[in-house]
Amino acid sequence: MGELRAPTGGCVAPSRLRHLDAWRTALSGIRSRSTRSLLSSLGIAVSIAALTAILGLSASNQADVLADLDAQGANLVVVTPVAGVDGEAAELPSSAPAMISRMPAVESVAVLRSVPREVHAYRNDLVPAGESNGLTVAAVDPGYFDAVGAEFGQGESFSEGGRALPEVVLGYEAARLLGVDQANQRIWVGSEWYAVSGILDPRPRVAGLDTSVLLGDVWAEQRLWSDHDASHIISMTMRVGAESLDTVRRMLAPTVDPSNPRTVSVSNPSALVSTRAIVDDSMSVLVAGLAAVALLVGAIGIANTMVVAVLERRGEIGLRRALGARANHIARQFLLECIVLSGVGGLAGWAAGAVVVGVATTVSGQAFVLPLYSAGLFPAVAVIVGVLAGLQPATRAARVPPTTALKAG
Amino acid sequence: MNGESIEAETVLELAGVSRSFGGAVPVRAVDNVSLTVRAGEIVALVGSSGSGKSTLLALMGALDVADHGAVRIAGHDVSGMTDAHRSAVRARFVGFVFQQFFLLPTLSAVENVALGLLYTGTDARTRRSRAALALERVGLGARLAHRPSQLSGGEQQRVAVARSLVGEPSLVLADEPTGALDSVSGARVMRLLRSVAGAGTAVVVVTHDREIAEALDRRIVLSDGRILSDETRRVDAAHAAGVGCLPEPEGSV
Repeated sequence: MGELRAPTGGCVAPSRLRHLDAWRTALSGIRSRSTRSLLSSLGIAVSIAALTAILGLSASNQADVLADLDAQGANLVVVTPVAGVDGEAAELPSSAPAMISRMPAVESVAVLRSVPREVHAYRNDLVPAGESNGLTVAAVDPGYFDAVGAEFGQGESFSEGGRALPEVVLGYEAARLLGVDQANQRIWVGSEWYAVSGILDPRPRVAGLDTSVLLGDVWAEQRLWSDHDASHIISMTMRVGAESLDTVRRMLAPTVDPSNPRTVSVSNPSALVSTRAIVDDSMSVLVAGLAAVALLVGAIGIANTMVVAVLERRGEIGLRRALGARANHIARQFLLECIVLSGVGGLAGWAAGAVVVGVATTVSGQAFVLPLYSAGLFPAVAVIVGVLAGLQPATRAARVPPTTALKAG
Repeated sequence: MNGESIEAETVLELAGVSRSFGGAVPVRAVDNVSLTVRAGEIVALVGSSGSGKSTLLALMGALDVADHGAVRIAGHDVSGMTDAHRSAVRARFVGFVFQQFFLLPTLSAVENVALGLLYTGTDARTRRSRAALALERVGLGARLAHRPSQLSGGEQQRVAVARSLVGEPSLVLADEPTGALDSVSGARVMRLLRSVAGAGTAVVVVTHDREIAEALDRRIVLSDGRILSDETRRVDAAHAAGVGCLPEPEGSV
């Protein structure tokens, strides 16, 4: 046994590979088997494209469904006084509409006020008092129709001045029953003639509007009521930003009547709100599930390519080791190849997915919605998945003893 | 052989080196081998197949680690080194030539040769210019941009020789360098290797070709992992005369 110097060889610096050269080496590795690299990149691209398309389509679809639901009144909240034990509805404070308007996320408040019980609507003054057709007579402000999203089929809402005049807006069914087919005709309400300023479209979002005869609130207050202190509020309907719906609903009763919140009933005009929540959730679950499957498929593709590459390129691994590559240079080379393959695949896939979403939404006439974060997140996820998939093959490549690798070559 | 003091021109020194493989009943592929190779020497390592030539070559080039004994390359004992340091010794002091050439098919000749400097941290421009010079040296200065597939077998092996030389190593280890070549190309590669040795680099050629071995100055015969004989004789007087007047090898310590 030779007595040689201390076995550290301290005067030799470890072999090194420049960062730029490491990337070049990875790229040349990819070029050396370009078809297979392209295919494995394509695998990732397809899965990311699928993911992007799913996200974009479901987001576009969801936006569409939600807009549709909102159009149907899913974001309309109705506040009514609670009926007491005597069957009489409690009186809501006159300040209530103003208080509600001040709440954040409440876009507009439509107040429906009662008229005295004996006031009914008739085609003309000759119709017997009993034949009121079950029509509801109530009073509103001119902004009411906008607030509840009611559309006019004929004419328009009474003007700000019309609030204080004998003008009336008829629900579609009410107009039919009263024999009115166009604006400016007259009907008999209570004990006076009223001019019809507009007729609403059928199937409004607020229940009962179809059979309503709506007078101006100022007129009703001044001419029909003798009791001017009461608010005569039947209901307040407001449009609320979808994201604050729950909060607003919780806060409404104490806002309307701080001293007596129990007399206030807060409801939605329909069950659409729960549908909205379900739509919101189910889409997210679907997207997450499909995303996981798509990415798994992509990862298997990358792992497969790398496992084969390591087997095929043992000779090259041996050569590089002979040329002075350290084990971790080899591992790094394969990992960088994974990063390039999956990163390129991820970016290309995102772009392809965005195109799919663009085409599909154009064809279906929906709005294009693709969350911007996906442009960074998906390629990043692809790279992470690619690295995880390549970790084992890369480590294995690094562990092959140089002599074994050279023999295999 | 046990070197209390290493002569300046000693490039490779093996002292009592052994290497075994296998599990329960290990096979001793290299058994207590001691030898020294000096700068400018060209050595044939011969033996029947399974005699341990390739294992010994791997030990000489720090591709493998001996179970026992010490291997010193250009003054660096690689036995206890980490992978990083051993790799550095290969990158700086050892050039390999293989029977299968191991040229990367997508790279041009000059790029393949430049790979020989990749792990030394040399910048790309320098690597390329030195690779071009190395190709000139092996007579392929006009073939820089050719892909391996555009070169004959003999030319490919000369590219591989250029790659082994580009780092100006102290030691070139050639494993059956003519094994895949016809006799004319093989003879040309051997002439090239002899000229490399003539320029002051130590060259060890593993071969089972008796004719090639006979043509080299020194022959070490291996059998069952042991040195059977180690003979030196001047084969080519004209060539041998040139050795003394060549410069000292770069990189030797």
